Amino acid sequence: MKSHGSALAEDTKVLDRAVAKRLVSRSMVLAIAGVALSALAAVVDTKRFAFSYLTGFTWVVTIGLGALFFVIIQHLTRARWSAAARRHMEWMSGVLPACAVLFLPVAVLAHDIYHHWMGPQAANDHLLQQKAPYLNPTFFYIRAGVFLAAWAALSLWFIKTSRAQDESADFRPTAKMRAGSAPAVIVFALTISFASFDWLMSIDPHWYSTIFGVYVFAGAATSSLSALALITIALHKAGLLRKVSNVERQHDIGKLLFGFTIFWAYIAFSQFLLIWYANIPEETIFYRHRWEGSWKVVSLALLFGHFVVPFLVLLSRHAKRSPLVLGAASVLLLVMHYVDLYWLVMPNVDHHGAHLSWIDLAGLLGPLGVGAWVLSLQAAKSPLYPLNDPHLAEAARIDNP
Amino acid sequence: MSATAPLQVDPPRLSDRAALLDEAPLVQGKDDFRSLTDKISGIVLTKPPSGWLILFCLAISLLLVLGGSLVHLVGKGIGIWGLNTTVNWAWDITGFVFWVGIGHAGTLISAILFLFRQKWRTSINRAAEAMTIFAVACAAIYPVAHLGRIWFAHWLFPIPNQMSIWPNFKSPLLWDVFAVSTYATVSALFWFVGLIPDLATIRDRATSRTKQIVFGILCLGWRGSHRHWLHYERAYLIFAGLSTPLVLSVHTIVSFDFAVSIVPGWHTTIFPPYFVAGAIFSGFAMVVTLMVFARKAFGLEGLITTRHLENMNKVIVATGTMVGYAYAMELFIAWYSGNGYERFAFANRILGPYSWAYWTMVSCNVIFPQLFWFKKVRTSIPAMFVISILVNIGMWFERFVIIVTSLHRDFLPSSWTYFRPSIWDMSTFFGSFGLFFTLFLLFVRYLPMVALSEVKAITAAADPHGSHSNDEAHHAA
Amino acid sequence: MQRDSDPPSRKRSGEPASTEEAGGLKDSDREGPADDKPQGFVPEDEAEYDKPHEEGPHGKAALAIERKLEHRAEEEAAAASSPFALMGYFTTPKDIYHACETLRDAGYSRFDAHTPFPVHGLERAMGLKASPLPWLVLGGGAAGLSGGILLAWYTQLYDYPLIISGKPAFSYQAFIPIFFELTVLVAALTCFFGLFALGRLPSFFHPTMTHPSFPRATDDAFFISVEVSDPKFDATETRNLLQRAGAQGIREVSS
Repeated sequence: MKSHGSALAEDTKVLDRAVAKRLVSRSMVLAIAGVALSALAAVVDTKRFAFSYLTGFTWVVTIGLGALFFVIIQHLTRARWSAAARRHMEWMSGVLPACAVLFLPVAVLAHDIYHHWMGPQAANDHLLQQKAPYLNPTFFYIRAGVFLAAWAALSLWFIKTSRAQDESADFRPTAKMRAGSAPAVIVFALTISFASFDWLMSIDPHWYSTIFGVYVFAGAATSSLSALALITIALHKAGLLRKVSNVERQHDIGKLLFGFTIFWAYIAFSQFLLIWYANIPEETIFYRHRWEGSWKVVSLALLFGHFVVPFLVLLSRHAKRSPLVLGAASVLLLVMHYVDLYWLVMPNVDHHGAHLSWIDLAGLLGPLGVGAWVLSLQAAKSPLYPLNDPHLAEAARIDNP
Repeated sequence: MSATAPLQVDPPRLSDRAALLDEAPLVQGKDDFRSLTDKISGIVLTKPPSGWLILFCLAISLLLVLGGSLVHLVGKGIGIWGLNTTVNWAWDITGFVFWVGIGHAGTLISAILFLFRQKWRTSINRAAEAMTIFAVACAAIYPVAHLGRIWFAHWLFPIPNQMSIWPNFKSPLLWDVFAVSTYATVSALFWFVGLIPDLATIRDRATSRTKQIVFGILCLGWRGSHRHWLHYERAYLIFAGLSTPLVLSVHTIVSFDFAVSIVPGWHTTIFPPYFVAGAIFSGFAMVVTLMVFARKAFGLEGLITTRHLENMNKVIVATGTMVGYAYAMELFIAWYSGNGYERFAFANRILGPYSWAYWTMVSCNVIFPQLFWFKKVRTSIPAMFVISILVNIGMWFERFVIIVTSLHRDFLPSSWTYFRPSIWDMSTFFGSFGLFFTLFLLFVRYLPMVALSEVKAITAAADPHGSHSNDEAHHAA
Repeated sequence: MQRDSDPPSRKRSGEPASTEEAGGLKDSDREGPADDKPQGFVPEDEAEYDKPHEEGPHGKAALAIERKLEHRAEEEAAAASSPFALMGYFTTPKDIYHACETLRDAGYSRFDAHTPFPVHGLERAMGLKASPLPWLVLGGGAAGLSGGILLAWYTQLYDYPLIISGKPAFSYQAFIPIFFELTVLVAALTCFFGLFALGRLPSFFHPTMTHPSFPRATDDAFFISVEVSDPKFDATETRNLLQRAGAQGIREVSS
């Protein structure tokens, strides 16, 4: 077997101190600016800000969750190609503990967002009375606490165990993480599903769809892979990783991104077709709202931007191997993931048509800035790849014929 | 930049690596290219073990049962089945979905695991793909038989009838026709492409002129040219890429048969991925059942190792858990919807007259496969055999539960009824196993049941840059 | 691993060990690898060919084989004047990989490798261009999709529009499953037939198949064939090159 050392001699182990410092300070500026802007928006228009912030918050939290899922699934399937990618996803999943703090504005503004069932008018609604054992504020906060605690615990445990291996050069952490990955994926599936029901689906408490959790998950996976592709491309561009992550690994990430783009479209289409076809009023209303006025444009943008264009672009092998094309597609998909969440949340505020506002941007920039800051902190202090992963040599060698 | 010294690799760490990371070699035994060829082509070129003929006779007898049932059906009409006005779809569509689902594992192994570079698939993919094709053949019986007047079967395709009316493209049943026929065609093409190099091996190893000619024609004159391999590998990748969404689409469309309706218990948006997971689940169970037998009968324990079976059992527990997730979501959303009809449909499933079927389904599909969490169970041949059979039973019941419990108490309580199958329902279903096993037994006897060229390509000796010198290894056998 | 079914003639232990022996006279080849022995009933003794067993069960077969052998000998004699390629084989993927690299670097273009499985990266070692198959399949998929749309438009809207379940006659949402299936179907058919068209298959005879050890190309040997028509081809030069690369059983095959 080729020794680890020779395979990775060209790879930089940690970010240069000056670079790391610059990264952290810049992202901190972004975080402070974002939070300030958010605070301003919250004062100016609290009601709209509640929804805008929810959109931004779910954007960050789903990217973190997609990253956590990636880490878990790599261990579950004993993947050998993804050593470096796994580390970058660990960084991203590091935003999940911060999300517990980022959730606070949602918790405070919950009565604005979920006014249908948290407000007093719920008492007169027969359906909501039926749902009250689940849709009540107390249980909502308890559940949110459970979700956030579970995610923070999972991401911290995986990060800690993986980092422990960097120092000890031992295979036991790998075995431990593999053993932990199976129960972790079950916890993950249940929490992301119910969190989507709670935070997004229940804004319109009459509407329901069994696939909704899977839909949000598909977006999470796509967006986190897009972010991973950007990190990978940036590290390649900076010349920091050559062996353990190379153009073949970028190609692999591109393939997964392509696959999850199709998966998202598949889930979205399944949900749409079944509701459109059966045409039951209480379900169809969801799409009806999103086909009114300028929402129609947003819906079509989603269809093309989240599926058709990335699908056609990423179909090509050359595109997946080109930093420029893959990077562009990743940026597009990250934007589209935001549009997707916007499309889920905002029609509850802007009836009969989309109305963009600077408050929406403020609602995004707060969580985005904090997320970027946490991500930079992770990247600054942790090695660029798991230094003692048992499969580093394979990660450097496997190619795509 | 911090540059630390090259990593220390201390010997004890390497020695417990295999144990810690569970890295048993994929193909066991001291097989080289030659002995692999001998092993696989030997099955085709020598007399089968005596048990083969006995099994074949049994399978043929069952096939005759199917033939008899279908002849009777055509003579009398579908009134011979236990259907009635309330439950107008029962064992026929259950059988159809059951068999289509079984097929999905084959495509998963041949296409999806290929895209994920899962090398262990090479020992089982050929047999699993064959299983796919035969399962789809069994499934195809039902929609055609259900026509009653099967001589009008050509109107399933877009051909105008005597009134110049075309089939309705908005009908999920027509989507089924397109999906299943595409699936059958593409699976067969993919399977055949995979077979070509191995057919050429059989041609070159055959000793009788007839076999040389037959296999020579079947392999299209394959000569292992790398100028062919170049296109071949690309084609294989493309087939895998096409089959992956295709296999998802097939069971998705099968689920649309139910889910586009407004029948409570059928109309739920999770049906597409839920059906796909269930299909893979049942298909893997069938592959485990078949492989446990085949590896023993043909002495392939070195190729289809416990590790292969263990991996399949892991897929079973994973997909079984996904199915469990879907059951839970269905149940939760039925309650959450606040819709009285939805709530009734599920209460009726769990507590109504068919609760025995529901609980059979839950225990076989969700509870028993959880035993695979334990490595002891995962690697025990008798345990996995029993569980795989239970999963197959459970998955049949899943379709039965979905179909019959949603129909038998419809919106009009005066038409509520309890469905009982007739003897002809049963003979058609059990007879279809005759078709499946007849085809499968013919396959293991007359075609290479392990993808020889693919297995060779994953051995250590196949790596052109490896340090492995296979001269000694080669002539040692 | 010898199986009962394997006739003694298929034991390859008598493989020519040295390259001189393998590349030597035709007669020595006859005794060496016996892969080109006729299949079916073959008399053990050459002399038995002279007395046909008209009355025996195998009499006619023996006669037929004899005629065929004569015919083949004539053919071989006639073809000897038009050699097709120089062939040799290796026993490891590593060796053929390096041999292909050597040939490529020496400027050969019309040569081929014949291997029991696709040797990883051999196309690079041979200097082959990537397969154009993906483009064909893309075209096939596009044709399938447009064909599906056309079929739906013609049958559902143009020829006999029907309003069913309160939906417009041309409800593209509901036609997507059919569009998808037809796209995949036509793409897969294109891939299947494209594969054979690009490889000029089926072709039941090829000069390389006449190499006596060629059946091993689907078993455990890795053949190289350098075509005579290659501009760089030179009878002795090429043979030396193959020999240096370590090829065994070097010999010329004719079309």
